[in-house]
Amino acid sequence: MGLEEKLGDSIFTTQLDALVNWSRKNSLWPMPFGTACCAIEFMAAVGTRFDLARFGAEAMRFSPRQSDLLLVAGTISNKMGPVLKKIYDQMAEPKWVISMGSCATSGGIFDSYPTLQGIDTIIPVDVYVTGCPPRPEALIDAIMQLQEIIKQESVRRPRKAMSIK
Amino acid sequence: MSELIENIKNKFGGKIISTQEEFRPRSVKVAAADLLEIMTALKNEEPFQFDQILDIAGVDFLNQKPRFLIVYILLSTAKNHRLIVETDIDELGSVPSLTGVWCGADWFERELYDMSGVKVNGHPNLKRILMSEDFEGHPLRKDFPVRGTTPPEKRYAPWDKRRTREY
Repeated sequence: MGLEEKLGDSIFTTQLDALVNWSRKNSLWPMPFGTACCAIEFMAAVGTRFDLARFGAEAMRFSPRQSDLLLVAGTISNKMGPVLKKIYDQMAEPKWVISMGSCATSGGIFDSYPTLQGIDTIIPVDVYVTGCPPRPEALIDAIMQLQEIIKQESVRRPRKAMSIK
Repeated sequence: MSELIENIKNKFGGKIISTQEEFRPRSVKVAAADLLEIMTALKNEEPFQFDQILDIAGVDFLNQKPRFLIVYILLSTAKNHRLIVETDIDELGSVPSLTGVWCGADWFERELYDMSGVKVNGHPNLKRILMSEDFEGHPLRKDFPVRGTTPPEKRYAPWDKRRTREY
């Protein structure tokens, strides 16, 4: 645009999407929904040794209204399904979901009557993490993959309503 | 014969079907019709004083008659002794509710109903406690399939349509 020529180093032009996505991806506020042993691995990932803060995702909020990343770590029973759905619906846009571990992803070893066979039957999922439970590195990799997804979004294209039709 | 079993036999006489003293806790078997009377006495009378009910369980002996064995585990903190009271019931039979004797029997009996499908007469609030209320079947019955009787497409209504995210 030529602004740099006139104003020198005092301004920096970029795309709106790039700026918004950059700030979104480097400041994820996770809501941990830990129901089983995956939550323990998740705690390790947040702790000093693996340190999720390096990726800007260390501000845990236990209120869905204050967070933008739902981290489902653990077995979800059929009775817990409506609770999870309600928590997801309470989160404000933009919001993302990581399904951590075999149980949240597919029911895992619990192919039985009380267990939800994957949370994607009730809410949309962005990144799946395999493992039973996954190591903290796997969760960190999922966060990094989610950052790649966030990078490709656009503020001009409205996000589709995320409720299941 | 231990003093406890002796006292029980003296007190209830012919109402005791059988006793077991080989393993502890000792157990007695009674008929379901006598259960409420015997349990009330076991709680209130001096030689027993069973002031706590620890658990109620239903055991399913599929293809046997009677089908269910209902197990009551009692503890006396005053006398420091335990007792298992057992009763047999048929598939269509029922046991009396013990909520009037021990308040703690309330949730145990709901669990018994939920898991084994045994009817409990006189319970104030006999509904499922572990499974959701629209669940079909009783999971701890031996003829219950491990994946349940509800087909997957009907399990999570009204949100069961799989979808992927669009950007």
